[in-house]
Amino acid sequence: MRCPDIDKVTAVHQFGEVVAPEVREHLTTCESCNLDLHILIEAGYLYRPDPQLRPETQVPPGLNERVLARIARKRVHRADVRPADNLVAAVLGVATVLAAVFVTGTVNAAGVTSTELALLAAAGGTAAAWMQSRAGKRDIALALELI
Amino acid sequence: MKALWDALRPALLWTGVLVCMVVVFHALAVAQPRPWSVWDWLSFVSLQVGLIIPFATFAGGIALAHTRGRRTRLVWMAGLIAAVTAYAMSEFVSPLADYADWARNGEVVETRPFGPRTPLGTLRQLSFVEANPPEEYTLGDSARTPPNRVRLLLHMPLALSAFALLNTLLGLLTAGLTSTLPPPSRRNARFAVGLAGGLAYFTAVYFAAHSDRDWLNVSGVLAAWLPLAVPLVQVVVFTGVIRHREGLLGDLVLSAARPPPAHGGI
Repeated sequence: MRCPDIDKVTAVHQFGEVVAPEVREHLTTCESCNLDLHILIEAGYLYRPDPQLRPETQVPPGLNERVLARIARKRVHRADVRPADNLVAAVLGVATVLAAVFVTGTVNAAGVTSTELALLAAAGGTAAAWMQSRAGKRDIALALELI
Repeated sequence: MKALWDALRPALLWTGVLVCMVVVFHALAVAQPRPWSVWDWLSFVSLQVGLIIPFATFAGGIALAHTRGRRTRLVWMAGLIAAVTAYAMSEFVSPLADYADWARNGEVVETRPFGPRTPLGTLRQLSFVEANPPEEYTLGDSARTPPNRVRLLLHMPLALSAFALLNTLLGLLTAGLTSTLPPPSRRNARFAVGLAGGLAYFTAVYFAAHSDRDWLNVSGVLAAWLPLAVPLVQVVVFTGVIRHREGLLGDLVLSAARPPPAHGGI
């Protein structure tokens, strides 16, 4: 919602406290700004740091590195290409090549044999599986850069 | 401009790879009654490019998922560029090269009586068959082709260009749907959705435009445009699923929120 009178309620409040008196007065009558502020307060409470807790918090040494290493390990695990992924990519590659030959009408052209089609499909499948492996290696290299 | 190029590059790459594959296969496996001239090759390659681009735009839509802001505008711009290119290649470059080849051999009057098979040539053919209805229609002779069939030939490339636009949007939506999957599964899922969507549209076109249909009674315009219902349904379903998921996420965030503080203004 947009209020024509006050452009940015965000600029005049801090953690639910409306500072400027004219905005405070405006809020008593404007439903739109009230809703905006309510949303901002909800969001503010989700991410609001508690200043009373902060001095007591002791950050263990090396925590940053350990967290990053853990994230990297998870990313490597997620990026790892399993044989099943390669197999699916190969099947999709075969299907794509056959679909392209079918869509362009080459499949009905004179002299095309099923052996030639099978060879073409195999080439498409191999290329797709190779692309999948290559993309996986690139993702793993990117994840390892975090450590 | 860079974002637009980022979107068009994967579509161009896919088009290039598939066209190269088809052309090499055609050169090696297809028996030619006579050696092909440069015009023959130009006509063949530009037709393949025009046919494959609309299917390859899906990859461009996926690439747009990485860009920030103005995605919808970029989808329409990339889709429009792809659509115009595909239409120009299949409806102007290819027929003109084909016509030049026939003209070189001096057989143009018999084989292309209405001029090059561009949309203008097809319009001339439509005017002719409507003004001079033959006793018996046949698909083999351009002067005796049923008008509905000619209308199909006129509208089909336009519908294919519209598919290019929709397919770009579908790519973007699919990228959103699969963003939480692990990368290998994500690549395979996007590949599968793009392939299945393209095949579904092509199957619909195949049956709608089949030469065995009764073209004296079947509407050519409807036969050309109706297959677009397939990608349109996909767009509606994908958008619905994404909105549903976003709604669930929104509910989750709100339910995690603490009660609002006592506030004087509210």
